[in-house]
Amino acid sequence: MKIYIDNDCICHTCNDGTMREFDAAFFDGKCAAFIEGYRYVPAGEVWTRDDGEVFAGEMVAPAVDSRVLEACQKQYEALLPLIPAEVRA
Amino acid sequence: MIHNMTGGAAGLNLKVVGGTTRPTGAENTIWVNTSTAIGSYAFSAAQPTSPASGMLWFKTAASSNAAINVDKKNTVLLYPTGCKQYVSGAWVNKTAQTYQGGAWKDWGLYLYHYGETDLGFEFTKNSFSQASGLAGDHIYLAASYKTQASATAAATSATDLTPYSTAAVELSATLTDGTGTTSVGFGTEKGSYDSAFYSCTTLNRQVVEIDISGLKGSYFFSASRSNGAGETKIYSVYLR
Repeated sequence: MKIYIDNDCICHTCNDGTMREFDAAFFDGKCAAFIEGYRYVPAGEVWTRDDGEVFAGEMVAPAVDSRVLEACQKQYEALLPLIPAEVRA
Repeated sequence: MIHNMTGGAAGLNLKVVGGTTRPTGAENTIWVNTSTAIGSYAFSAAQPTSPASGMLWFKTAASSNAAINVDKKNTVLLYPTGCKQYVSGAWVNKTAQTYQGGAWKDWGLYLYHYGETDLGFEFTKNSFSQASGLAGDHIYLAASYKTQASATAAATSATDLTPYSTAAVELSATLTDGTGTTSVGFGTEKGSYDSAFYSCTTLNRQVVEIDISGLKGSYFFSASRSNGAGETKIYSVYLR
């Protein structure tokens, strides 16, 4: 799955022109709300949390409450069969 | 060796002791494993601003493995989950424990600790892998084949990660042939990393950290290597 990350390593599904592109299998089959609630730190890079804790990549971690993201993904998967294939693509 | 003692102020029901060996326990003593003299200390959820050298930051959350009654009337309860000390201009992680009920209690939670685990692990491997199991002071995953290898250690029960913000995993990983990956992290099922993970190809023995501040609820910890010949050793998994 192609994703884009901003300067804070937050994932996006669209590039606003300032982001970097990565391929991350972790996000295969995930809805936009789920992807955009995650942080991706590429291998060889670090990200510093607000409290000063430093995390090295490659790391994938939720940036918001995981229960919300899981609920979004479940709803997406439940609705997926109702969405015509040509629209999904 | 005890380097510094502080606290125990009037009305406060705690004492903070710094040193590289644990002192004799007295109820509500906080021991910080440090060789740097302790200045002041603060309990707070956010990083203190303008810290002085030696200052301790006791990071607090909504719950803790070792909640502390800090006043003598037992009416003020604090929930410490982590400890940092300001050393040479930077915050450095330190191990802290509290003496309560006749025993030292970790502030965080070890899911695995140098050969000891209360959690229990299940080990699986396919025919292209050599080993998956406990070996001395570590979890040992090994593969001799450069492709198709898969070895996993998965916690047998899920852990509520809500009180914790960081998972610190001490591990090493080698790769002698092929292209392989070692992964450690958390998922909604055993052996899965569908929630948060750290991944590498090789790593000299060190502690890597995973941001779990967004993980709310119960998740399974797992470690695995896939493809590539080599060894992965997991020495400890600590939540704080």
